[in-house]
Amino acid sequence: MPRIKFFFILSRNAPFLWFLARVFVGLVYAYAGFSKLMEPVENFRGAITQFEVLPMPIIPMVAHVLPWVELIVGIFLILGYAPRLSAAGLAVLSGMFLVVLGTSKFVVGSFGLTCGCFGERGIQLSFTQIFLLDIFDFCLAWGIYRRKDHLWSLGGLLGRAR
Amino acid sequence: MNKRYLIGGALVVLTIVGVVLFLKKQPAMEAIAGANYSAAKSIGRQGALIHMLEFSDFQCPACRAAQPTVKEAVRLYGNDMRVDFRHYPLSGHKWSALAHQSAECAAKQYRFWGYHDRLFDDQALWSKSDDPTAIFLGYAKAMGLDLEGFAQCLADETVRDSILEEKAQGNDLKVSSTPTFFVNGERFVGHIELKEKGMPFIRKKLGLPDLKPEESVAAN
Repeated sequence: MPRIKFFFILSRNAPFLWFLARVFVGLVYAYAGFSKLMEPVENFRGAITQFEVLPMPIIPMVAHVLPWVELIVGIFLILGYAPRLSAAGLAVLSGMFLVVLGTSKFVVGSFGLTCGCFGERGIQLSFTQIFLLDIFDFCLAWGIYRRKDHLWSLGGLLGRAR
Repeated sequence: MNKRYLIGGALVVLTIVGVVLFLKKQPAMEAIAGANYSAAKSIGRQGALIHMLEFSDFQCPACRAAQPTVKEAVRLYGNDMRVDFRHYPLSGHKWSALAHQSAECAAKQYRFWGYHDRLFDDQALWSKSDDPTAIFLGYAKAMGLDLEGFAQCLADETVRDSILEEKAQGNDLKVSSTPTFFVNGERFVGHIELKEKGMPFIRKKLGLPDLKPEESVAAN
């Protein structure tokens, strides 16, 4: 009986739990973007170069654009503005990070002690930590994308819930 | 498309951009020009056309990997080049602080660069040691340094403070990973950036044409 009750509570609270998931994924990306933007762009450019995965000519563009995308889309997800589109975008980003990190670690062998994912001054995560975080973010973002209704969303307030 | 919805999104984006631009402060590059450099940790003449300021950590593999490029730059453009070394020991590296202190002690006896090379060359050896003090004293002995003065210097807290002061200067310039180079004020982070972007930048500043790929290989 208590087990049935637990699942009943979970399903009743599912919208709230998905709201928490939305805030979590959004915060991770917003923080990642913000911490990079607070540093000179060359620091992040250098961190990407060290991975030795992306071609040199596109690195400056990635270093300039990616932190803004992370911050803006992360905040969109927290606020619930275009939550499905934002979640899809962050799921794609998480997937791309997994590919880049995996290639850097297992193919090129260039992964340093930490990833620089939160800027060089921000939280420093090891390969295993950031890899697991990206998998977790990917799963949550994918789950948020699949949901049609979103609790406390700015989109809903402005007349469009998705 | 709902107009209210679009305007709402645009306002969110504008707010984010505004807050970031307001909070983002560029490091004061004058700090580089105004800094006092120790002659013992410099190569080249003052007032040279190219000034390279290096923030490095002796226990960092990427810093070790950058050394051939720094040496190549000095070899090729020596007369027009000045290199200044700045300590930036990373807290995550167990023996980094001690390695920097020993290098600073060698600098006090005007043998910094030889000691610097030895630390980078043997990085894999001492960084895995249980206590590299004896190894560092061994390098000092092999280089003919005054061992008593060296050992006293290793325990001197004012030397430690001067190293941390250099690191703080780096922090003021928003250095946060090693190696970070400033070539005439332009920042290059990591050994690959120095080689791929820094070296062409130096040639450009000296008014030299870009190296063709085969010349670049020959130069390396």
